[in-house]
Amino acid sequence: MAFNPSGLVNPETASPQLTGHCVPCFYCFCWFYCWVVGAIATQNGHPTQDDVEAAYLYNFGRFVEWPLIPSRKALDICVLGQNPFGGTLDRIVSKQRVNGLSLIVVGMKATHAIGSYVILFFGASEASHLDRNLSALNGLPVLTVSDLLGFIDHGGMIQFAMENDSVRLEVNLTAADKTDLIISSQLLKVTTHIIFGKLSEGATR
Amino acid sequence: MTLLSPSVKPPKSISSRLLRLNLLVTITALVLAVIAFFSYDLVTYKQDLISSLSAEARIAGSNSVSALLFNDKQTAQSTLSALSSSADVMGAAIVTNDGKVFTQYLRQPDVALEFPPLSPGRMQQHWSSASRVLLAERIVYQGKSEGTVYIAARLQELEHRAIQFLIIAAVVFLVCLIVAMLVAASFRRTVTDPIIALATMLREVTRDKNYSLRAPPSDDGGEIAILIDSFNDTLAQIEQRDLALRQTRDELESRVQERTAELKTANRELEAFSYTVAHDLRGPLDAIGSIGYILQQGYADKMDDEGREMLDKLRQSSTKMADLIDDLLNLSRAGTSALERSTVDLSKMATDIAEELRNIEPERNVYFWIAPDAIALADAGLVRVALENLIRNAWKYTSQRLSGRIEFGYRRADEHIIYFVRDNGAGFNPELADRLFKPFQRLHTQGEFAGTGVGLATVQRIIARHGGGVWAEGAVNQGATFYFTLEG
Repeated sequence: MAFNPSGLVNPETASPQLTGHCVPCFYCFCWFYCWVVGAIATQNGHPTQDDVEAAYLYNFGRFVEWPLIPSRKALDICVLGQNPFGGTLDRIVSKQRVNGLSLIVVGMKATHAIGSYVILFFGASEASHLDRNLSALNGLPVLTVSDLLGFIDHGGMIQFAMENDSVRLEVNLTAADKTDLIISSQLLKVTTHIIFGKLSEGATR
Repeated sequence: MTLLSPSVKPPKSISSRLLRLNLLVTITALVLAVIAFFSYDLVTYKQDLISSLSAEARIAGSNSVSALLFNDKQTAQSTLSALSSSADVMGAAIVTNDGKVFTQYLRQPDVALEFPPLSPGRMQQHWSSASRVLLAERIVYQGKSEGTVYIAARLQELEHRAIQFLIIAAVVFLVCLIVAMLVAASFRRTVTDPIIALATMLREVTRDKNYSLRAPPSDDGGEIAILIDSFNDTLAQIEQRDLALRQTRDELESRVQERTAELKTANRELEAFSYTVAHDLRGPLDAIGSIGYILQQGYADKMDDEGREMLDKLRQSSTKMADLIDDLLNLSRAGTSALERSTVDLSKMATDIAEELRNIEPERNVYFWIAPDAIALADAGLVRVALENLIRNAWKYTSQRLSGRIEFGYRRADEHIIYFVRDNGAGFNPELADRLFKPFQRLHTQGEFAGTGVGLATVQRIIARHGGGVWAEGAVNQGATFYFTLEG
């Protein structure tokens, strides 16, 4: 198992590509790469990383408890910024229900009213104003998820990370504890990295 | 196991039968019990195993949901590996809904397992063979099927249980065997031994005709004692009757011996008397005959016709009386003279007699047929008298035939030789055959055939002295056949 010896991910060193003039080129390349690889992968029947993450987003709905859930009519999943999943996420959640509630995927560019969603996915385009958005959610029961490097160190709750060609999870339990969200121990079992209390700890597995 | 005393060995004793019966019942009950308990245990054990596997599978399944949903094979693998603490578990696997093995644990990596799909709609299913059981439990999370947990377990515990059952059965059987033997021994002491003693005693009674024996009384007080007492009473009664019978028999025997002795004495005296009389009569009669002959030869011409006729009659009467006396003497000798057996050629004897008869009456036309080599072991003198009597009889009774035929022959029957003298003469009435051999009894008148009525009685006495028998067959005018044997 891959193990981060520092236990912390430095956002500045971890995501140098996200800053500077070549960012659009990089994104274009990434998009093209993902599109090609994804197309090939889908043709071969293997899910892409984004497919897997889309499925995981849905699964989070099953392993996290939100307060006030009885008043809700649906679980709203908001993809903030660029949507890496295309229609996959819509397709996955369209026929599913969690605790009797249907799931709705909402794509958003602006960041107003993000506190009304249950799951908030920060797309790659949101790297630059990540801290602002996260602090805006301060205390609200919104599960924040992203595959941006260093996401949980910035106060995000769940971060996708690639490890041995598979998507793994890192969790900031301290951030979740500030809200009324309850993350199931089942979910914590499959994480590779957990931050809780004042210190972050490596996965205890 | 020897249950009997050496003197009496019935094919199957009661106590050995009882022992066998006991063992048969015990073994049957034991086998049935072992089968029943083992079957019950087998079913229970399988059910227990399946329910414990099911619990383990459910735990493993619920612990693996997140791993399955978040594709964390290592977590799932470590969950399954925890099953290795159960010694019977051979392996386990988590299979996704589309039938792919997500992760699996094998106790022996070289022994691969197969996971048949769970039937649709079923939450749990198991497959079992003689040596293993495979259980499938659906992983359900929040009402949704996420995959299936399979656990395969060995049934090796069953072998241990079977061996334990066999050991217990063997021990119980041994105990039962000992108990059955003790019961048989007790039964032998109280039932079989008294009966054997009784049987031995009865056998001795039968063999030795000793009715004074008694079976030892039983202090049992039950049916055996009654049986023994009854036998003893019966024996006492038999003994009394036997004694009475023996006394009566002895009495009768002595009386018979007494009477026989008296009769013998009287008979001997009578025979001596008749012999003496016959012998003594012979002398004067010979004198009368001789004088008659002299008178006929020398004085016939001095007599008138009447005197000569009376003289003829006197001579005829004296000859007849001489014949009678000879016959009587023969009869007497046949009863009294000592029997001396020697090899006698009866064929030659018959030929001689026939020759004599032909010489006496050469004018008669009689054909003799005499079988050769009739050799017998007999008293030559007596048997000659008997044979002469029979052939003379035949000669006499064929005298009215134009051509007579007389046969002497013999044939073998069983171990005897039966001799016979057959003629084609006047025969006799078979209804009166029993009178033939009685002295002075005649079936023909003196006018028909002359005779004394002593000849056949003499024959019978001679044959009887030889230990043989004589009998006759015949019919009026159809000849007669006299048979005799000469067995010693």
